[in-house]
Amino acid sequence: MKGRISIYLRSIPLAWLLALGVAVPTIASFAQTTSNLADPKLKANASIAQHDRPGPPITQLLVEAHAKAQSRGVSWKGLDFVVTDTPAASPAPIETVLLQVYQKQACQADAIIVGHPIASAYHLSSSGTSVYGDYIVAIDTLLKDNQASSIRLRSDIIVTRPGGSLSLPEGNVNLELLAFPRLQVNVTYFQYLRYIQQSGAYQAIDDLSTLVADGNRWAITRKGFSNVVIPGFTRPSLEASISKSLTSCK
Amino acid sequence: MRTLAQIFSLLLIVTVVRAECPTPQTYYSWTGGPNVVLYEFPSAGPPPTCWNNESITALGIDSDIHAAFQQWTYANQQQNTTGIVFNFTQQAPFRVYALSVTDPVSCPHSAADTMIGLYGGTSTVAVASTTFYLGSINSLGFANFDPTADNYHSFIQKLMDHEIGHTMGIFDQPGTDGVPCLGQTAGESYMNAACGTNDSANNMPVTPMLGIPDCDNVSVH
Repeated sequence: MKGRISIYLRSIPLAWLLALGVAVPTIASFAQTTSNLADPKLKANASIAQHDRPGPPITQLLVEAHAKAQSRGVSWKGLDFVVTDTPAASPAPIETVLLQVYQKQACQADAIIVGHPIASAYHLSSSGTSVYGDYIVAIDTLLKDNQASSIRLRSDIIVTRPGGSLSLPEGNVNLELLAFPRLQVNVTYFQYLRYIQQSGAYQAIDDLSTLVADGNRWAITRKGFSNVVIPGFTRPSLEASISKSLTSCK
Repeated sequence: MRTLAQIFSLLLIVTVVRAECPTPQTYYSWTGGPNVVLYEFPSAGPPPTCWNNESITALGIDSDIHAAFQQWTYANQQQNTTGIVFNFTQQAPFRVYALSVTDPVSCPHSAADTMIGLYGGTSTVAVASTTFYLGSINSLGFANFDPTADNYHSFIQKLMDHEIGHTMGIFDQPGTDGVPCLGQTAGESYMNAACGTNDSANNMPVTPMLGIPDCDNVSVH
């Protein structure tokens, strides 16, 4: 039998083996995906506070802008929105403040993961004033499990986040927030997450809760803070220190 | 010798990256549209999830906001070459809202933000809306506003100055670590961060002032 397998393998061209080698992990990664971006429960994400904005619906802004575009000699392609803000700083050294912030976030988070997005879908918020994205995020490392609904046996979760692109009847719309840059597929993120019971998805606690792998350090994704170096926020030191942080939660 | 040169080059790069004047630029601004930009204080619209819509006039912060627009109009006529004039009216493309946050945990954490809509594929601003999140607590953990303090109205004006700056083609000043107030030079730019409640450290230029700081004027477009 052993000899027969050996003969069989020798008769398979190397290209086929290589193709098989590539194909197996790809199929395996799809097979492990448990989250579904088309799940009707995810519609609840449209109503969370993080996705709401004041003002008129985006469709109304598109109509208004389209009406004025011609008089300004602009070829109509829709609107690209950028949301800027006034960052907060502290009179104390920022690293000291941030270490306290992240200790608090470790305690407040329902789940803490290191993971990478593999797919996304964008939607209009329930108020119609904003665009948000649902992302399937593959879990590379689970650092804090959700006590209300364990994700220990899951290979991925849905993370919802403001910002995204949509093609609407009134025109195309892109929304980018400096506080919440969009997650990039196959980039590794460290995330302090809050559970959304209605949808079963997760959201960043706030604009400082998402860090991106930048060489051997974890950098804050929020624009304006990405250059701030936080002591101990290196890979894999931060991951290793989370369990210690959790023991000091009250 | 070569190593020394490399270190010197690195220091030079770090110095350039961390330079704060002129203020960093964005690719977009009102330029390309009409020279007169209209602004208004409309109602904030649909029922909110974690805030109450407020009237800017009833709150008594309307004069602070008008003062910021006047500062920019003066700067654009006298201190820089954009020529943009801001006028208060109704049905305007630049909307200003005030909200009182009812749930500081779930609600936005910024003191104020601005949603800037550009004509797709261009660098021209078509619409903008600035929102003040009164009662918000920022991500660093302290209250953005103290309406009872003497510097409250000055802070509202500074915030509006900062947010108008975003529509005038300038970006947030870079932050550095190891020092208070993100290491920014206090008073040098309206694009500095707000440092402490009501910007108690006066990291942003103190109001009232005529026009805007030179570092900002050099960069607006």
